[in-house]
Amino acid sequence: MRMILPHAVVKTLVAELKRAGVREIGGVLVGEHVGDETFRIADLSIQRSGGSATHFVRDLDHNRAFLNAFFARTGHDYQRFNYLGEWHSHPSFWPLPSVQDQKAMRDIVEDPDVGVNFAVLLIVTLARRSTLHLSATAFRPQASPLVVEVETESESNPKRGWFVRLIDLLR
Amino acid sequence: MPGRNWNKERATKRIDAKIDGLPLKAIEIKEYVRETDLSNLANTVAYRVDGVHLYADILNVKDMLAVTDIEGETCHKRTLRFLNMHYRAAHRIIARVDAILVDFHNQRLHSVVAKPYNSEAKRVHRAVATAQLIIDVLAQTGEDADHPAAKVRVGIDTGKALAVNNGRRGHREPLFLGEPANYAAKRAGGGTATGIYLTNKARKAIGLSEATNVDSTPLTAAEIATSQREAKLEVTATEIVKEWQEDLKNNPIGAFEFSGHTPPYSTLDIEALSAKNSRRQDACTVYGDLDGFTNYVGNNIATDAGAKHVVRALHVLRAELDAALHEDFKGVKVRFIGDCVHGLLVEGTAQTTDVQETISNMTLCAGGMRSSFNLAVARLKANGTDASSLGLAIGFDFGPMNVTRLGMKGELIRCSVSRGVLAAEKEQSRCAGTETAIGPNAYAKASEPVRTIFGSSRKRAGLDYDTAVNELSAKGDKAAKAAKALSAGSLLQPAAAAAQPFSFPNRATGPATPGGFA
Repeated sequence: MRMILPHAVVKTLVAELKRAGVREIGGVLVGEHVGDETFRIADLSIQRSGGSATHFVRDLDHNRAFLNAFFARTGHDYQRFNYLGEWHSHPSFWPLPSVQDQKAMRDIVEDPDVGVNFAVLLIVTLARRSTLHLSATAFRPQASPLVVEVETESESNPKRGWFVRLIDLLR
Repeated sequence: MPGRNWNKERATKRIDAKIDGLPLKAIEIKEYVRETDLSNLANTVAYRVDGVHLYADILNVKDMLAVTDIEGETCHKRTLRFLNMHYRAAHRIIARVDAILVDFHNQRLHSVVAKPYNSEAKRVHRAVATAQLIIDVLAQTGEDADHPAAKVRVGIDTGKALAVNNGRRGHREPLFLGEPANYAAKRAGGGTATGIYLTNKARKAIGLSEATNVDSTPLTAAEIATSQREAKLEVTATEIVKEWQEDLKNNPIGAFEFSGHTPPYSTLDIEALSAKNSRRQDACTVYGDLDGFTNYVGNNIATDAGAKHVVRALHVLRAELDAALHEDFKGVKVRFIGDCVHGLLVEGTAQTTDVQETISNMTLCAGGMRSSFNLAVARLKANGTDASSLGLAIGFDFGPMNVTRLGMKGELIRCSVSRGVLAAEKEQSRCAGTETAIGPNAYAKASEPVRTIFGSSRKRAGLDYDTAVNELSAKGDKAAKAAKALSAGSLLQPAAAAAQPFSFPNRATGPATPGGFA
């Protein structure tokens, strides 16, 4: 599986990680299915509360509001635009999924109330104040996690679908 | 631990297909005669070979693994390079003395001297001279303090064994079943002192008196010198060391480079591994050994009808143990070692092993292997092969594991060696044919339900799949509950349900509860 990380998202993450310092922050990812097993991060929620130096609890209400707004913006075209997964920061550790992270993701993908076929866990950390280090792992029910190939979209040549660009204009 | 379980109906289908593929009338038992080629044997052919079996154990491999407090990459790299150098030297010796190279299994070399065909005494002398050559060469093939010379203990026995196909891809070398192979291995593993140790049968064959304790009676220098004079080997230690140095110069051993494999191990192609492309991560390792097999061979080798049942039982039982590990629990078989299967199993990601889930899955897998074994014995009996005297001893442990291939270019041999591997082998060896033992490291890191079912002895009799899954899930083990839920869905459900596609469903999705991350 491949995931495209737009430059704007990178910029947002860098700014938020600087602001958060040693506290973990996070939220949910929403994405666009652009073909085969390739997805582009369309947006992410940013939850600045709920984190400590080693732990982050993603709040339900904050993110539900974010998702509802996203679904409305994308015309409820769920097969193309939908919840993609979770993200959080590891300010004090390598950006790799911990055992607790893996358990949380398995709970998500195996919960029928969530209703996903898969979910991606993006973990980010800031190196030398401005370099983003990350890992992305895809989780599916009844299957082992897979490392996601992440492609950063350059600023000058954004490979964005026309629909996403239109949506952004309307935001 | 999604999608790992054992299912009786699925296992029955596998076993019956294997039995059907090995009808007794299709199995041929032949006598080993001059220049018989034992490589590339078909699964349906076995040879009775009158030969001398030589096992050489490198004793200081344990020291190599224990040299650092933490079993880190450096420790594994040193050990693998140490073994690789000595494999190359031993391989060269066996080729030059015209013996049969049966196997390297980590620190252990197994070779058979089948020539000359007409004299058991001459064969034993030749085996003793070869053993001394191995000791002399491996004393010189160290490099430095980190990769020292090998300290070697050799065990030798003589007699008839059954050579069958060992079923490896690429080069299908023979596997020898029977008392001489087993007794030679026992003498090699019978102590910590170096030297050459013969069984009383082998001692008698060359006119030596019987020893009261064969494991503490090495051959004397004079006895070895007699064998060397009788054998007149065509090569010296100096020549072998020179050739080995030349080979090392022309084909240097690459630096060992490790990466983690994205679980499960069932997707790992061990045949693609090399020094530069080795795997290393925290995982479980398991030994499943057919208990009583040497006696079973001994009781059946004399007649063709009996030997055919041995061949059939071996192939069916080993294949089913491999299938339970690989297909049902997504582990990987490192190799068959005689009548034993050695495997690895991991859950989590390439970077982070889910320790408790790996150990819980390994416990269920050990239960699956025992259920498969019991079922295979019953199905064999129903099809005319009585292997009910056999048992299955299982030992496993957890820790940093590596897997790679070592040895001569073009003939690389699979290797996975670590403190955990040695511990799992030790755990298996303390089990009877109905028992499963968990190593101290796995026990310390296991979930409470796993610790409870093994108890403080770390050993449990009769731990089949149903017992394991029911007891673990009743005590709240998450992996066992998932396996049980999957089994309950359908008896015909595959081991791992097909993974969901990478696509969005046509409905709004999103988290339903708060999520805790760390």
